[in-house]
Amino acid sequence: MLSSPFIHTKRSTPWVMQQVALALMPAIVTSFYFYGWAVLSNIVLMIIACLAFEAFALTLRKRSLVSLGDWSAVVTALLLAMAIPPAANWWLIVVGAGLAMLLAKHLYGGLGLNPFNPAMVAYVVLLISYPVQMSQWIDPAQSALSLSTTLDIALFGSPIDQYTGATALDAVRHNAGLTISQLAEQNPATAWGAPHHFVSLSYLLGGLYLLARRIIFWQLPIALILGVLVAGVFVYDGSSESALSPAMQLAVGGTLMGAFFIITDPVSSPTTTNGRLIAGAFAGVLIVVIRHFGNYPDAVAFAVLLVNLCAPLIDYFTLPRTYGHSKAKRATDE
Amino acid sequence: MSDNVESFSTQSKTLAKEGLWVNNPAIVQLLGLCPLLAVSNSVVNALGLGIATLLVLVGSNVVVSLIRHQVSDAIRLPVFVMVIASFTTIAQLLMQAFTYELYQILGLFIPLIVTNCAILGRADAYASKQPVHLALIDGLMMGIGFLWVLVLLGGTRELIGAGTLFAGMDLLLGNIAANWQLNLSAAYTPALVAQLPPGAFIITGLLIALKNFIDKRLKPKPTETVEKGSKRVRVTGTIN
Amino acid sequence: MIKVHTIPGGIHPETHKSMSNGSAAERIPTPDRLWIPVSAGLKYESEPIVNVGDSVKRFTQLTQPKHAFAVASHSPISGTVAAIEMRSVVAMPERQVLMIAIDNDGNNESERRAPMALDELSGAQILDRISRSGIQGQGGAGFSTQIKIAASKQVTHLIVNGVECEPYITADDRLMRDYSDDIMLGIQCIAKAMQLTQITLGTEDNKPQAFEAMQNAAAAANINMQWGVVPTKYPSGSEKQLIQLLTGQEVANGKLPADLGILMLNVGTLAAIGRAVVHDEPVTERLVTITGEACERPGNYWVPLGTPIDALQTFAKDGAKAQWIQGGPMMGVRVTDTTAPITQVTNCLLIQPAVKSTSEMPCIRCSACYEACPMQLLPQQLLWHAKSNNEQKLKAHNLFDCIECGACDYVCPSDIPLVQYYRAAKDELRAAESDRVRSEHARNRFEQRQARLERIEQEKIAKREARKKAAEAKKAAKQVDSDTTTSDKPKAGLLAAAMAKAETSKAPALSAEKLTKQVSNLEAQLIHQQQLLEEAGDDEKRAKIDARIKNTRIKIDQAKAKLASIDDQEQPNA
Repeated sequence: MLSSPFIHTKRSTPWVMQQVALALMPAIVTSFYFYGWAVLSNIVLMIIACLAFEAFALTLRKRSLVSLGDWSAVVTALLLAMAIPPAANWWLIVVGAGLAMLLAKHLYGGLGLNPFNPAMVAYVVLLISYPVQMSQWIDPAQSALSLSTTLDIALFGSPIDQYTGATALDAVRHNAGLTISQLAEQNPATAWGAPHHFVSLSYLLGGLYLLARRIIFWQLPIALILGVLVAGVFVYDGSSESALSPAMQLAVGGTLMGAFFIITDPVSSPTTTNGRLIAGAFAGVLIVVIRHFGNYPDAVAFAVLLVNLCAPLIDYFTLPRTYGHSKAKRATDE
Repeated sequence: MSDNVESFSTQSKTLAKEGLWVNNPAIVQLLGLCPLLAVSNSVVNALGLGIATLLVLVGSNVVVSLIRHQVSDAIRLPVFVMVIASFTTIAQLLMQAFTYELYQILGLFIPLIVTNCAILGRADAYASKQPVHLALIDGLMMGIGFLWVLVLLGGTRELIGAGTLFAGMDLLLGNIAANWQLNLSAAYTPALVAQLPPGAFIITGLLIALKNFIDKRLKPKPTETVEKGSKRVRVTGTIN
Repeated sequence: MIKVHTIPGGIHPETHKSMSNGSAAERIPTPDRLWIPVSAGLKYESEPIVNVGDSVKRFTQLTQPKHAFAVASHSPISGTVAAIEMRSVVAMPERQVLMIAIDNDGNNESERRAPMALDELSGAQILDRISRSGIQGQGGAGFSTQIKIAASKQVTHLIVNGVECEPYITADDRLMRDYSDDIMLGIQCIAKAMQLTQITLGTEDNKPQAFEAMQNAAAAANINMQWGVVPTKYPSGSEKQLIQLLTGQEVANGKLPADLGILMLNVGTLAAIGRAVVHDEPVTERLVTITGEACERPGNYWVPLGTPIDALQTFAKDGAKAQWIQGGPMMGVRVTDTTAPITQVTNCLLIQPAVKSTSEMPCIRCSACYEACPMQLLPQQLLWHAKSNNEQKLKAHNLFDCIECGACDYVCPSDIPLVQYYRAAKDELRAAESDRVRSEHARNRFEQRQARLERIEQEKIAKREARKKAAEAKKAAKQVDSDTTTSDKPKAGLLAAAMAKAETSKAPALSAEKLTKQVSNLEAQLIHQQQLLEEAGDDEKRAKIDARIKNTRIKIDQAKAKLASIDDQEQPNA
C-alpha cells in the first residue's frame, strides 16, 4: 500500500454480496418447502443465465472476467429468481437475465453505476411483456412440485395451469363483490397463515440478519413498512371495495422482500440517513397506491423503480450538515 | 444564394449522406420523436406514416424554396407552417381515398405531421435558403432518412412484440401484399413490451447506439492526445 | 468525571496496543551520527547557527528560526558538526532538505541549564522558555506550540489530549503512566501562564492505568482537573472530534478551537513543556512507539531526534520483507528512504510485513463510508465528483472539511483509496484557486493601468480646457475644483498597483510549502496511476492512463522547477 490508511476492514464487496445471498437462504428454504423444486429450477437456471450474460457483457466491454467473482450477478439472479413465479420457463429466465445484466446493468456502466435495481427492471419488463406467464403462481395449498414435473414445465414447456391458483393479491383484485372477511373464508390465500406468509417471514428473518451485520441500514426497511401500514389504513375498510388490511399488505406479495432486499440495494437508493427515510416511506406508500389503484398484481417492483428514479433528487435535498457548518448545504450551493 | 463551385452531383451526394446517415432526422437530430415512437409498432404503420411524411417533406421543401424570395423574414414561420399544413391535408385526403383502413389506424398522427419538427426544421434551415432542385433533394433524402429508421423500428418492434413481420401490408399496398405476413415459430411468445411505448424508447436507444457504434468502427482512430487528462483550464503557461 | 458526548461516525479497528505498552520506555543506544533537519517541521525556514567542525554539547542550539512559525533545534548529544547538507526526509520522498550532521563523541556533556521552580517563574518567563525550546506538537501534526499558544489569547479551557486513538501507538499511554509528573508540570505551566480556569483530560477507556496514573499525579500536584473518558473509537483523538466529545461543541467552519476558548495540547507536548520550563531542557528526544507485526521487540523507546531510521533496523524481524510506516496505520506515511531521521512528529514507527496493495473495485454506494465519517461528509459523493473533477460539487460537498482521518477508506469494501483521491482533489482545487487569484491580480492590474491611462488622458484634456478657460479668465473657482478632484485619483490607482505588486512578490515565500505538498501529492498520484496502468486491461484505457501519467509528470516537473527557483531565491547558502 502506498499511502495511509495502511489497514482496512476485512469486509469486501464480494463478502457483502455473499452475505446478502446468505440472508436469502431462509426464504429459499421456505419456498422450497411450499413450492418444491420449482423454486430451485428458477434459481439454478437464473444463476447460470445471469453469469453467462455478465461474462458476455464483460467480454464485450473488454473488462476482466475477474469481476464475475464479485457475486453481484449471483445476488441479482437470486432476487429475480425469487421474484418471478416458480417453475418459470427457461426462455423467460434467459430473457429476464439478459434484461437485468445487459439492459439494466451494463448499459449504464456495470456494477455500481446502474440507476435502477437490475432485478426489478427485468421483473417489470417481463411483467409487462408476458403478463400471462408472470402471473401463473403455483398454488402452495396443493402439494409442492416434484423434480420431474418441474423440469417438464421449466425446460420442455408442459402446461403449468393445473398447479396454479390465484394469489392473495389476485383474489382481492377480482373479489367478485365479497368483503374482506368473506374473501378470507372463500380463499385461504387471503387468510392469515397462508404459505406465502411464511415465505414473507423468512425474508424478515434474512433482513434482520443483514441489519445485525450492518450490511443494510434500518431506515429504508422500517420506513417502507411504516409507509405501507399508514397508506394501508386509508384504503382499508373491510368492504368489497377495500384493499387487504394494512398488516396483511405487509405479509403478501413482495412487500418484505422489497423492504429488506430490494429497496436496500445501495447502488440505486439514496445514501443519506434522511434520504433513506424519505425513500423508504415513499416506496411504502407507492406500493399500496399502485396495488389498490393500478392494473398489475403486485407493485413492489414499480414502487422501487420510481423511488430509484427519485434517489438523486432525494440525496440532493438531504445533504447532511457537515461538522462545524451551521446548516446543511444543497448540492449546488457554492 | 448557392455558389456553383461544387457540381450538382457532389452536392446531391452530400445531401444524401446527410439525410440518410450523418444528420439523420430521427436518430441523430432526434426530431419528430412523437410519431416516430407512437406509430412504429408495425412495418405497415411505419411505412404508411413514413411515406406520408416523405411526401409532405418533399412538397413543403419545394414550395418553401420557390417562395423564399417573396416571404419576408418576419412572417416566414407562419407561412411555412401553412405550406406544410396544406401538404399534410393533401396527404391525409390521399390516404383517406386509397388506404382508408391504414388511415384509421394511424388516425391522429397523420394531421400531427404538421407539428413534426423535422419538416419545419428543414424548411427553415435549408429550403428557405437554397434553390429548388437542392431543396427537393434535401427533402427527399431527409424524408427517406426518416422513413428507413421508422420502418426499421417498426419491423423490430413488430418482430419482437408480435412475432410477425409485414402483417397487414395489404392495408397500404392492396391485395398484392395480402400474403406477405411472415410469422415467427408458434413457440415464440411475443414480448408485449416492444409494442408499448417503453419498448419504442428502448429500441430507439439501441438503434442510436448501433449507429454510433458503426460510426466509431468506420472512423480512423485518432492519434493520442496528451492533454486529454487535464480538465483544468490553464490561464497561464502552456502544457507541452 | 464529566459527561461525554457522542460523535457521529468513527470506526473500531483492532487496536494492537498491548503489543507495545507492556513495559516502561527504554532508551536506545545513541547512534554515532545524528542528522538534524535545519527547519524542524520542514515547513518553515530556520537557518543553521553552527558551522562544520564546531563542537557542540547536548542542548546546544543549532538553528535559529527565520519564519515566525519555525522552531529552533538543539543538539541531542555532544560531538562535532560533521556536515551540513541536503538529505531526504520521511514524508516527502523526493524532497531534500538541509540537515546538520552531529558526530557523537561519546562524552555525553551537556550545556549548563538553569532549572527554576515553577513558583519563581512569571507567566512571561514561562512563555519565553517555551518559545526558546523548539517545541512542536507531539501528536503528529508538528505545529509550533509557541505559535499555538500565542494564537490562543482568549483561552480559558485547556484540554489535555491523551486519547491516542490510532491503532498500535502507545507512546502517550506509556508517557501518562510513567511520566505523569512531567505532564502535570506542563499543565501547571500553561495554566499559570495563560490564567486558565478549566482543565480537562480526555483519554480513551482502553487506557485505565494511564488514567489512574494521571489522577494520582494530579492529586499529588494538587491540580483541580476534570476527567473525560471517551469510548475507544477512531478518530476520537482528532482535535475537532475530541472537543465535540468533551464539550458537545463544534469548532465552526473556518474557526479555531481558540474561538471556543479552548486550547488543546497533547500529553507529549505538555511533558515537553514541563521539562522545557522547569528544567530548562529543550526538546532533543521523544518517546517513539516501535511496533508492528514485523517488529522484533515492540515497545516504547526514547529516541534522540535526528536518529536515522537505519539505526533502528535491528527492530525489524529477520528475513521478513518489511514496510516501515512513520505514524500510525491510519494517518501515517510510508518511509521511502530509511536514511531519513526521527523528528518530533515521529510518534510511532510501524514495521509491517509488506502487503500487496489490493485492486480497487467499483463503488457500490454502500454508504459504509458515510456511516464512518466523523465530519458527516458524503465520501461516496466526494469520490464521484473527485473522479470527474467537478470543482463546484466538491466544494458544495465540503471537501475541505475532510480531515483525512482515513475512516472511510478503512471501511470501504471495494478497497477504494478514498483519502488519496481527496488529497489529489484538494490539491487540484487549491492550484485552480491560486491560478484564479493570480489571473485576477493580473486582470486588476491591467484594468487599473487602463483606468489610469484613461484618467491621465482625461486629465490632460481637462487641463487643456482649463487653460483655455483660464486664458479667457472666466469661472476661476471651477478650475480649482476640477484640479483637486482629478489629481488624487491617479495616486489611488498607483497605490493599488503597488499593493498588488507587493502581494505578488510576497507570494513565493508562501507557496514554497504548497508546492512541496503539491509535488508529494502529485507523486502519490503518479504511483497510483502507474499501478492503474499495470492493471488496465485494454489499450484504450492504457492510452488514457498513459496520457494522464504524462500530464502528472509534467505537472511534477513544473512544480519542481518552480520550487527550485524559489529555493534558489531563499536559500543563499544552499
